[in-house]
Amino acid sequence: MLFNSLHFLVFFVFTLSLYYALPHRFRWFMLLVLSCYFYMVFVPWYVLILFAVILIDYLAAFLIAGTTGIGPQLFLFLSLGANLGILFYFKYYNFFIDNVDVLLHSLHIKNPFVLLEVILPIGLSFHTFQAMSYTIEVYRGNQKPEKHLGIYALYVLFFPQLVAGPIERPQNLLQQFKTKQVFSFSNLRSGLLLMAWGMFKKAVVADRLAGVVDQCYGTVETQTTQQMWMGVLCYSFQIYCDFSGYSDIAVGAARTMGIRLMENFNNPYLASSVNDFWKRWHISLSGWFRDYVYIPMGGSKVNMQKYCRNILVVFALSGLWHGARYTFITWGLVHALLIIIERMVTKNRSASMSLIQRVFKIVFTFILLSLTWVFFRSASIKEACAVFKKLFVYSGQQFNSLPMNGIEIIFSIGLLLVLLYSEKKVKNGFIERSAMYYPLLIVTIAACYFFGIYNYKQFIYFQF
Amino acid sequence: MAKKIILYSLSLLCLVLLCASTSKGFMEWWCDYRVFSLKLYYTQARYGDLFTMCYLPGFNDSKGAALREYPENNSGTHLYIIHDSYLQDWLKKENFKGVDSLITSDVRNQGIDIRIDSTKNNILVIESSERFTGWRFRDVSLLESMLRFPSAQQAGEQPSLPEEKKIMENFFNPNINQNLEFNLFDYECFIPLKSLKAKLNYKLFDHLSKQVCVSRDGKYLLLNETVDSSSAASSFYKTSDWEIASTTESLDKVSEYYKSKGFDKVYFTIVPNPVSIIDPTYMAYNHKIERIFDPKKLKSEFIDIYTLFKKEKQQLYRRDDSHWNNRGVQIFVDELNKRLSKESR
Repeated sequence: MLFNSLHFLVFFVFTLSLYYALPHRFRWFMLLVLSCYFYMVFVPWYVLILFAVILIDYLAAFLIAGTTGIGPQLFLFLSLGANLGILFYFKYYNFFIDNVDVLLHSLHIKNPFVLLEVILPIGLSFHTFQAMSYTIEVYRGNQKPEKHLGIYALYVLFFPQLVAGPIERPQNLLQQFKTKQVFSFSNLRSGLLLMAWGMFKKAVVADRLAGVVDQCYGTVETQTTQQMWMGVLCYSFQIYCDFSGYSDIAVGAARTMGIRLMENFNNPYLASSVNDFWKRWHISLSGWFRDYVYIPMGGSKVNMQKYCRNILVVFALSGLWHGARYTFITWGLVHALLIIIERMVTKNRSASMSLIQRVFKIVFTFILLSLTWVFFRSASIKEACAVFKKLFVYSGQQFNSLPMNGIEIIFSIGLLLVLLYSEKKVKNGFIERSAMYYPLLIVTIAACYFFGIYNYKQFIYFQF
Repeated sequence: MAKKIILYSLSLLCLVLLCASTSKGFMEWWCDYRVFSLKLYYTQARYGDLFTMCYLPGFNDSKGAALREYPENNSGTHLYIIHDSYLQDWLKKENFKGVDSLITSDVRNQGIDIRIDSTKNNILVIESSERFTGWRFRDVSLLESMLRFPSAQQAGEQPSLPEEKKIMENFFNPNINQNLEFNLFDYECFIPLKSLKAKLNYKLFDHLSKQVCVSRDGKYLLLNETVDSSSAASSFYKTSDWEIASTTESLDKVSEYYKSKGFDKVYFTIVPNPVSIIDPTYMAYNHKIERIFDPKKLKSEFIDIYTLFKKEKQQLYRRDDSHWNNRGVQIFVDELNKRLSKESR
């Protein structure tokens, strides 16, 4: 079910009203059933994969906590193996076979493997990572195994963050399902505003920019240098508004039910370095890799050689997490290289900066990030190279018509300014407490209706 | 307590709405009941289909005067028509001279079982709109399946969907968003709001629903795929001689097939895209209809609506709909009636 659909609107009103109407002891069951329905709207039988993941990790947690010696480690590996095995089968198997094929072909050996014809279950990487964090936390002793299978299943299936995060930790979420949530007007107000804001970012900004981006990336050869730059910069905002819009709706929907999900974004394009960007972008995923991969490998408190290795591994995995394509891996590796370079360059410099320096760094970082998104958006490395060529070798071609007229370009720039200005105010609850709450909520909803583009375009991060 | 009652009522209302909108069977019944029995508002029943797609105001139009009727029908002609949406709403046997039985088969649905009465004059007309000609008139098996000639045993047997698929369709209906829109917002009171949105986006950003565009003279809404030269449905799509030859060959095959089944005459007809008549110089017109209905190449008989329409000065298409108006239909019906008069026994 897409957040930007009428189906979700009615489903959400139904869920929310029933949630507060039912006594607390029935709520977990109701949320579980409705979360299954939410997921089954995409491909019904894929919910069985989720059930399998839930059952494996539920049992593994008890075995991890209940055994000694080699036992906990063994069962943790078994649980992680099962999760990663499912992920590998659906997401990486064909990519792997393709590469094996190339290798065997070069050795003149016939490839005995066949490609699978399976559709990637929506949001698979999100819920398997969330499930894995549960067994890891149990192994580390930070979380007791959850006895209630239903509550644990809800931790994996909770519909607002089921298909595109935030990737939650069990310590944050499990307890909240058990706590009796009393209806709070403040939660409802802030939740609804966040949802409206998320919808505004998705329907009004992201899907508007999508037209320009799709045209520029779809027909690279016929674009002029200026148009390609426009497409590249627009994609930076499109992916931000698309993904953070989803997160805002997820966080807002959960908040109306009194459940606090973690914030996934913190004005990432105001970052003054690539390292800073990763503290602000997709926080739940970068936190996952930090806690479960980067720090166990030694983190940053190691010599330069090992630090480089750690960063490269984490970012290559982060790229691979997004999809089985070399473009994603390259995107991750480029980020890793930029972070390493930053560390080398800024090691001995003082942290204090003038305002002009800061602004310059923000703009510079934004341009760098936009260029790295080229790998993320392109279908292949070849296509990415073609985009870079277009960006840096002046083609002198004639300006083509874009799917935006002059007024819409000005309108879009205005929207981005509104976005940068208001984002923090919406997130930190400033508007919710002010007298401007209702007028702003109405204006946001009206803008979503009148200027929103509703072609039921999926959220970009659903494919991961 | 009052709060609980309100919450339960609200959730019940939403549940009913979700269940109703997801059930394919219920929606089919409800759509007919709401429009025809309750006479509750339904945009497409009052406005044209193109208006319903974009809600851009200023193109409202009516179907025009009713078609002429010929109540004395007993000349022994059985008329069969395989048609698409262009003839969907217009078909009554009284509109045709000397026809005492009219049997229709909508090409968008499954075919129908018929029995040819060899004591009657059996005439078949196969109609397609220009935009579908490219594939529909080349698909011999599709056209041949529209009228089936079953044995006594086979008659009445209908192929049905597997039970599992039926259940899935009723729980996870892919059209649920359109159904919810129909149930919640398809009322007259919402039209001004929808039109305001459409007007704002069109005037400010030149945005209109992707399915619709406005004609160069600003008088008609047009189906975008009939104008966009990259679409096979377009009047400006480059159509090769091979495609035309393949179409004529298919039509001849279909004509032979139906004649072998007992039809006395088989006519083909193509309803031109509105842009082919209103503004053929918009881009390079492909002249598909004239090329298919070339008497030197096509052995089968046809009714050339395109040539008749080119001569006509009056408005033949609705401004807010992708179909013709009653004047356009009347021209086709008159031409068919001429043929029927010649053929009557």
